[in-house]
Amino acid sequence: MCVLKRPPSVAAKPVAPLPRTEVGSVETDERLMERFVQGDERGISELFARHVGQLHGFVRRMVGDAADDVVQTTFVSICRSRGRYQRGAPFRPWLYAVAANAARDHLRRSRHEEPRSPATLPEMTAEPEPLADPGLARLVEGALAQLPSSQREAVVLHRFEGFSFREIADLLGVSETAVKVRAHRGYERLRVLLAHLRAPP
Amino acid sequence: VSPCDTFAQHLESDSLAAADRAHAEECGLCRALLPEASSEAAAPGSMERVRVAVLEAARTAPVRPWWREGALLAVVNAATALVAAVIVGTANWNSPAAHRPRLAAVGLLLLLSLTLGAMAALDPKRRRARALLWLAPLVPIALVLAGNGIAEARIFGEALSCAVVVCLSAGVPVVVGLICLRGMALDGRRAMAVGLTGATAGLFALNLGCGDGSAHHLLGFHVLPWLLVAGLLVFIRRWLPTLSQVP
Repeated sequence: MCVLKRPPSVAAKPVAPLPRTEVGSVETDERLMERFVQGDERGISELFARHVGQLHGFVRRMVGDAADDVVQTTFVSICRSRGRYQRGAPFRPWLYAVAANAARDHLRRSRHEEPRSPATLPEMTAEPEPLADPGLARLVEGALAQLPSSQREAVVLHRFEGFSFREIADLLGVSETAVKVRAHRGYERLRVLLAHLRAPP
Repeated sequence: VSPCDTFAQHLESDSLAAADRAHAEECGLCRALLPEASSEAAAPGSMERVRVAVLEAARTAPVRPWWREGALLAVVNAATALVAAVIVGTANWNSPAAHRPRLAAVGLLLLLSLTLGAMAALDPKRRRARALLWLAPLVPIALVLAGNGIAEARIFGEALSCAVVVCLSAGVPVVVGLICLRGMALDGRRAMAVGLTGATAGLFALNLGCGDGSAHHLLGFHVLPWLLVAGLLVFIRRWLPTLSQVP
């Protein structure tokens, strides 16, 4: 993780509204990224605002409490290596590829490889709370945290981020079959972990 | 089988059926497995800290097109190969037993591996580095086919000098390759491709300078060190910190 000095001017700097491609239509992610590569910093500012919320959810499911640091690593990596962005390539899968790399690197470096410390997992023996979403969401995240990171990555990208297996294969740089196998094993394990919480037949 | 079991069995499909969605609306646990289920939100203020760091990086980090690093590595590889060729000499090329057209063809293949291969290895499109690994077996095949098949009666130490040439001449390309690789996400196949192209500098020099054209010598003292250098680069890369997670 890099340590960056906080510039006093950045937060206070007035940001002009982004130009629109046509009346009423906001620029695409890809166009914003191209503008950023060409030197327009407002491109990354807008992309950050658009994607940080959902990306944080993905990263949180991957690394837990270190999500803020990994999200920062993701966007700072994009800033540093924006010359590696392929013009016209879909931005969102690329962003998630960077985030997946950052999450994997974090897990490897922190030696928190699967499963994460049981002390940090939510209580898994609680009774079902059919309509209490936050509690159940935490239980699901606790179950996800017990999956090996490669299976967790495939399941989270597929189930929660809405990528197809083909797209996941592309963004992770592996074969579609490998992704399907990882996801299948992950879902199997998830079913076992959550079995006691399900309603009886 | 409960509705929850049915829902769980359908999780692997790309889109859920209407019945599964309807069940999830009523069941908190299954709803937590829908794409729209939210994870715990970031703490207020923490994303502002991240945003400031990102804008600072955007302001200060220069734009470096990927091909500049690829071109740098290609030039370093080619220069190293030429220097190594001058040092090793052209005994094989000048030998009466040499089949020069074959040697020239292999030399051209090795030069292309050193230069275009280096570019492909660092290309952001990962499939290019992967394709390079699929093509890598062509190098030992070409070396053996171009060899004159004549084993020189040499002691083991002399034969070992060929392996030393491969390893020593790979030094600078490997260091430059590692510097380039630190600026992108860890990818074992990419690292292997960079290692193979860097170690090819020694193969190029030996193609002109080593008179032993027997298959066992070529495979044992040229190709094996070539593979070992690439493997060593992958091993070292795994232990180096990564400066950027971009593929």
